[in-house]
Amino acid sequence: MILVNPVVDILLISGLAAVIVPLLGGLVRAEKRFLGIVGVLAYIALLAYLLQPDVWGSIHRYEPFQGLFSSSLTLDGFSKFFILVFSILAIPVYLHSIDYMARDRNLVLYYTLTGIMMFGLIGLSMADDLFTFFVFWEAMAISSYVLVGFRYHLDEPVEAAVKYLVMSGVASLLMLYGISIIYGLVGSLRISAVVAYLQGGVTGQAIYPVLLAATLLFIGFGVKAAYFPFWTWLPDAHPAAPSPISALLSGIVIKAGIVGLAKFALPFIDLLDEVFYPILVIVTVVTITLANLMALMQSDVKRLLAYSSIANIGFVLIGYVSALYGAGVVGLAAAFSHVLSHALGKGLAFLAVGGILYVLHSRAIVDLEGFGKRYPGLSIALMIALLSLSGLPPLPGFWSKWLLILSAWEAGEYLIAGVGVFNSVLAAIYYLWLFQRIFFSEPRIESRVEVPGYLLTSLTILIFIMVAIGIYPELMYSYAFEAAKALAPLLATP
Amino acid sequence: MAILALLPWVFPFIVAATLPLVAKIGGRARDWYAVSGGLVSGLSSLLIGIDSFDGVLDYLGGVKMPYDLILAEWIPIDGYRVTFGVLLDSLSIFMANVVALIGTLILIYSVEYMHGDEGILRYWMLMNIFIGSMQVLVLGDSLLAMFFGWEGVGFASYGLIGYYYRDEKEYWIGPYPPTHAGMKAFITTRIGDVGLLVATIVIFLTSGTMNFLDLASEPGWAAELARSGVLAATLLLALLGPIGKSAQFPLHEWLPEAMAGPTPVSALIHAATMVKAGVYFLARFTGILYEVYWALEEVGVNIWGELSLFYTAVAFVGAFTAFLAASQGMVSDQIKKVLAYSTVSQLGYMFAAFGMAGLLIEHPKAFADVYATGIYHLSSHAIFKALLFLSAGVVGHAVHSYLFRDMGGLRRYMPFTYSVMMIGSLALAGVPPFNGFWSKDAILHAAYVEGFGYVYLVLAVSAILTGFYTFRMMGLAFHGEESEHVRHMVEEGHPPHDPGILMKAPLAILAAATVVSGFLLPMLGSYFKPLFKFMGVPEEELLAIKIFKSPDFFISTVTSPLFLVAMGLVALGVVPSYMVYLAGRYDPEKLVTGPLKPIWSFLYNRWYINAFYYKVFVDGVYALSRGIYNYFEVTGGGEAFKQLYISLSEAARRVQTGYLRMNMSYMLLALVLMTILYMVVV
Amino acid sequence: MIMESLLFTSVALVAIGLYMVSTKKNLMKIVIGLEILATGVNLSFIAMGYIRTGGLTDPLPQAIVVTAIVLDGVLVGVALALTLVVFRRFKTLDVDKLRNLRW
Repeated sequence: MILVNPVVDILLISGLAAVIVPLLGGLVRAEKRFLGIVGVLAYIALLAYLLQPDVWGSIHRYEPFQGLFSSSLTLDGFSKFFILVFSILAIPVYLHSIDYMARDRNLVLYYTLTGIMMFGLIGLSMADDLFTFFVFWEAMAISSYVLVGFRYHLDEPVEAAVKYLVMSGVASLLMLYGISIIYGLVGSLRISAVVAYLQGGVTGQAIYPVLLAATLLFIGFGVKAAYFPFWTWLPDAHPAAPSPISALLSGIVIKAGIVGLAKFALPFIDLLDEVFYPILVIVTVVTITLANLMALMQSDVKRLLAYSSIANIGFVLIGYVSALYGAGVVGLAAAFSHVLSHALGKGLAFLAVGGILYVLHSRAIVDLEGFGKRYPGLSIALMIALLSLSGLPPLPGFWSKWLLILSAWEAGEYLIAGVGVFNSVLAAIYYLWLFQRIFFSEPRIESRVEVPGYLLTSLTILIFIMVAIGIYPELMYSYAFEAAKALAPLLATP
Repeated sequence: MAILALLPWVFPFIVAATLPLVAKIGGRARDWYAVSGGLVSGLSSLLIGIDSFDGVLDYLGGVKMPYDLILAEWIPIDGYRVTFGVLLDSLSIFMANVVALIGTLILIYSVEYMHGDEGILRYWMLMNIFIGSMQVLVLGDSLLAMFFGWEGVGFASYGLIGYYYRDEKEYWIGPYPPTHAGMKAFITTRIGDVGLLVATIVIFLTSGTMNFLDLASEPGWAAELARSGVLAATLLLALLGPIGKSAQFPLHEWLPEAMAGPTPVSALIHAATMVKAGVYFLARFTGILYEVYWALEEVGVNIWGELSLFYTAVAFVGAFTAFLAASQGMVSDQIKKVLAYSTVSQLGYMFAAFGMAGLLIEHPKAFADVYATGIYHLSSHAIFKALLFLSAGVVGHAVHSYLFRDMGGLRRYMPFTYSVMMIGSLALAGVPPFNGFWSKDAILHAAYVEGFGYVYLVLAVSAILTGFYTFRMMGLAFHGEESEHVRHMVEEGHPPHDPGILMKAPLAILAAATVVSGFLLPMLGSYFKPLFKFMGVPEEELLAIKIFKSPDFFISTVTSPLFLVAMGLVALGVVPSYMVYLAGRYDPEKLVTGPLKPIWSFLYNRWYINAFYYKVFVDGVYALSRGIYNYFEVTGGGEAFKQLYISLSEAARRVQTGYLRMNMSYMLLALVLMTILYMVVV
Repeated sequence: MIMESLLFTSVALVAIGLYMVSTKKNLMKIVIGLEILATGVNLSFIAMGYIRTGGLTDPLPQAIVVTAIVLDGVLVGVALALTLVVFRRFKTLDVDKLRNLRW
C-alpha cells in the first residue's frame, strides 16, 4: 500500500509519531507514560510499510521545492538499511521508556522530542542533497540537545547538555560552511552533481576549496560520530541522558555522522585519498585504542559504555578505510554491518543498564557487584550485549568485526587489521571485567524493586533479534551489502 | 521425496532429542524407541542404496549419482561458497549402510546388555547422537558438513568412553579410569582435528569452496597450492585428522584405553563408525585428488611430486601401524584390548591400501584395483570386528571381567558364543572362506603385484602376528584350564552361560554376514561404477577391476601362487599359537618369564610410546601450566600486565579534562594540523 | 569588489566566532560567538551565490539562508534556555566551573 510516494509516506509515519503526541497528551486523560505506545505503533507500522514488496523492491525518489532548494530524497538500498536499523532500535526504546520514564515530568515533551529526533534521523538517511540533509540533521541535533538535558533539575545533564550543544552546534555550523563552499564550487548541492564534479577531475587552484570543504565536512560529521579528536562531548552527554535516550544516542544518533560521512564526505576523501590516508589511519587507530584505554578504569557503567561507543565508531572507520583503499564494497558492507551490530549491542546494553538504574538507582560499578544473583533477567540481557560487543561468536558483534578485519586484510591494511584484533582483546578485557564484577561478586545493595514488564519486553525483543542474526548472519550481511552496493557509484574506486 | 535423504542422519538426532520424553512412558518403550533411531536410519540408507543401484536416484526425480542435495548455503561472500547438504554417491551410500546397519545390530544387542543400568537414558541418547553424527560425516557434501559430523562423533565418543563416570574399579583399563580414557581419546583426536581444520581453512581460502564436488571439478586450488609449494604440507596437515580418528601412529595411543566404555560402545567405535571416519576421509579425498591430478595433467600442471610425498606418508603410516599394533596385540592381558590392538592394526591395512592407491594415481587401472580393495577390507572389517567385540562383550558379561586370567575353559559353558567368536577370529586371522581372508589377501596381493615390496613385507609379517594373537585370545578365553574365578562361579551355582535371544540374534546375523559378505561385495562392482566413473577412471578399465570380477576373483585368488604364501603366513602365526594356548604344549608363563622376557615387556609397555607421550606431553603441559600459574599467581608476574593497562588507562583518561574550552581547542587543533598536513602534501 | 568584501567578511566572522566559542569563559559570550559564526556561514552562502551568478539572482542560497536562520534561531533558543538553567543551578556562567564531568 503506497499512499503518496514511499519517501513521503515514511516521513509522514515518522513525523506523525512526533506531532500526534502533544495532541494526544492534551486530549487523553490516561497516564502520560503510555504515550510511548504511539512511537511503538508508528515504528512497527514503518517497518511493515518498508518491508512491503513494492516499497522494498525498487528505488523511490521524491523531489519537492524544485527551483528553490532543488531538494531531493531517495529511498534506495542505503537509506532502507539505515531506516531499518533506526526503526528496529526505536521500538524497544519506546517500550523501555514507558516504564523507565514513568516517574518523570514533562512526558509529552519527552515523547515529542524523541519523535522529532527519530524523524530527523529517518529523513537524513534519505536525503540526497546536502541542504535537505542539513535540515534533518539540525532537527535531530537540536532535539537531542534538549533530550540530553531533559532532567534539568540535576547538575550532570545540564553540564553535559551545555558541552554537547556548544561542540555540536559549532560542528554543524562548520559543516554548513563547508556546504556553502561546495555550493560555490558546484552550483548545486545534489550529491549526484557533486560526485560528477569531483569525478570530472579537480585541477590547479580548485583543489584548495575542495580540500577545505572536505575538511569541514570531516570535522562536522566527526563531532557527531565522535571520533578522535572530536569525541569529547560524548562521554559526558551519553551517560547524562535518560537511559532510553542513551541507547538512541549511542545506538543510532552517532551513526548519523556515519551516514553523512558515507554519503557526502567519502566522495571527497576518495578524490583526495593520498592526502587523507594518513589522517584516516591516525584517526582510526587513535580512536579505537585511546577510547579502549580510557574505558577500562571508569567507575560509572554508562560512562564505560559511552567510551566503548567511541571505540566502536573507530571500528566502523576501519570499514571505511578499507573501502577507500582497496576493499570497495566489502569494506562498506563491513562498516554497515558493524553499524547494525553495534546499534543492537549498545542499544541492548544501555537499555539493560537502564533497567539496573530503575531498580538500584546507582550507576556506579561498585554498586552493581553481585547484581547478577538478584536480577538474572537484566543481567543476562547485559551479558548478551557485552558478549556481542566484545565480539564473541555466534553473536552479531563477532560477525561484523570478522568482516571488518577481513576487509582490512583484503585491502592490504595489515596495520589496521592488527589494531582491530588487538583492540578487540583490549575491549574484551573491560567487558569481561565488568561481567565478572556483576556476576561473581557478593551483592552489595539489597533491592526489592521488581523489574517492570515493558522494560523486560524491550530487552527480550533485542535479544531475540541479536540471537537471530548471530545464528544466521546472512540476515545482516545481505542488507549491508545491498546498502554498500547502492553507495558504490559514489566512489571512483569501487 | 528428498526426505529419504534426510532420514538417515536427522532421525537419530530426533530420537536423541525426544528420548527423555519417551522415557517417561516406560523402560521398554525407551529402549525400543532408541533402537528405532538406528533402525530407521539403517532402513532408509538401505532404501536409498536399493533405489540407487543402477546409478540413478529415482526417488529424487531420476538424477544421476553423484548427486549433491544442497539444504542450505551459508554466507555467500564474493567468491566463497559454503554449502551444507547431502552428497549421494556410491561411497557415501555404501558407508551409510555399513554404519547404520551394524549400528542397529549393536543397538539391539545393547537392549539386553545394558539392561538395568542406571545411566541408560544417557547411553541411548549418546548412541543415537553418535550414529547421527557418523551419518552426517559420511553423507555431508562438504568439508564443513563432514567436520560437523567429525566433531559430533568426537563428542559422543567422549561421553560414551567415559560412560562409567563414577570410575568404579572394575571398569578400569590398566592404570586408567574410564573418565581419563574418555579425555585421552578426546584430546588425542583433537590434535589431529586441529590439523584437519587448518588444512580445511587453507583449502577453503584457496578454492573458495568446501564442497567435495566443487573441489573435484575445479582443480585450480591444487595448482595454486602446488605453485606456492604447500600442497603436500596442506595434505599432510589434513592427514592428521584421519590419523587421529583412525588411531594410526603416532596418534594411536587413545584407542586401547577407549575400551573403558560399555562393550557395545567399543563395538560401535571400533567396528563400524568412529575409526572408519579417517578411512572414509582418505577414500573421499583420494577420489578428489585423482580427479584433480588428471584435470591438472591436461592443462600441463603436474602435481605428482607433492602427491607422491603425501601418499608415501599414508602408506608408511598404515603399514607401520599395522605391524606396531599387531605386535602389541600378542601380549595383552585383556580380551578387549587384544581386539583394540587388532582394530588399529587392521586400520593400518586400509591406510596402506589407500596409500598405495594414491601412489598408483598415474595408472588408472591399478589405481581402481587397489582403491577397491581398501573399501572391500573396510566393509569386511566392520562386520567381523563388530562380531568379535560383541562376543567379547558376552564373555565379559558372563564372567564379570575382561582379564584373561579370570577366563579359561569357557568353551564348555558358552558353546554359542565360542562358535560365533571363532568365526570372527578366523576372519580376522585371514582364513578362507571368511570375509577377512578375501579382503586382506586382496590388499596383500595388490601390494605384491603393483611392486610395493616393503609394504608387502611389513603387512605379511603383521599377518603372521595377527594369526598368532587371534588364536592366543581364543585359547586363553575358551580353552585351557578353567581359572580360579570361573571355578568359583561354578561352585556358587552361577556358571557362565550364553546370553539371551536379544544378544544372540545380532551375533548370529553378524556371524552369517562374516561368512557371506566376502562373496557378496564383489557382486556390488557395478554399484561402485558411478564412483569411479565420476573420478574419471576410463570405462573399459572399470570392468576390469579385479575384485569386482566375481567369480573370477575368487578362483584367481585361490589358484594364484600367492595363495599358498598367504596360507603359509596364517599357519606361521596360528600353529605356534595353537601349540601354546590351545593344545597346551608349552607353558606361556615360562616363555615370557624366561628368554622372551625383554621382548615381552617391550611389547607389553606398547613400545614405551605411551609412557613417552605421558612423560613429554602430559607432564610437560602440567609443568608448563604450573610454571605459568606460578609466574602469574604466586610470584605476581601477571600484575605487571594489569598494572600497565591500568596506568595507561589512567593516563589516557586525563585527555578528558572537563574544560569545554579544551574540547573546542582539540577541534581547532585538528583543523590546524590537517591544514599543515595539506601544505606539506599538496 | 562586492564579492571580495563579502567573502572576506564571512571568513572574518567565522574566525571571530570560532575564536569566541573556544576562548571565552562566559557561556553568554559563547552563545554570542555561536551566533556570529552562524552569521558568517550565512554570509558565505550569499557570497558564493554572488560568485556563481555575478548577482543575487540564484534563489538557492537565498532559500538556504532563510532556512538556516530559522534553524539557527531554534539553536540559540535552546542555548539561551540552557544558559538560564545553568545560571539557576550553578549560580555562575563561567564554563570553567562546569567540570564535574571529566576523566
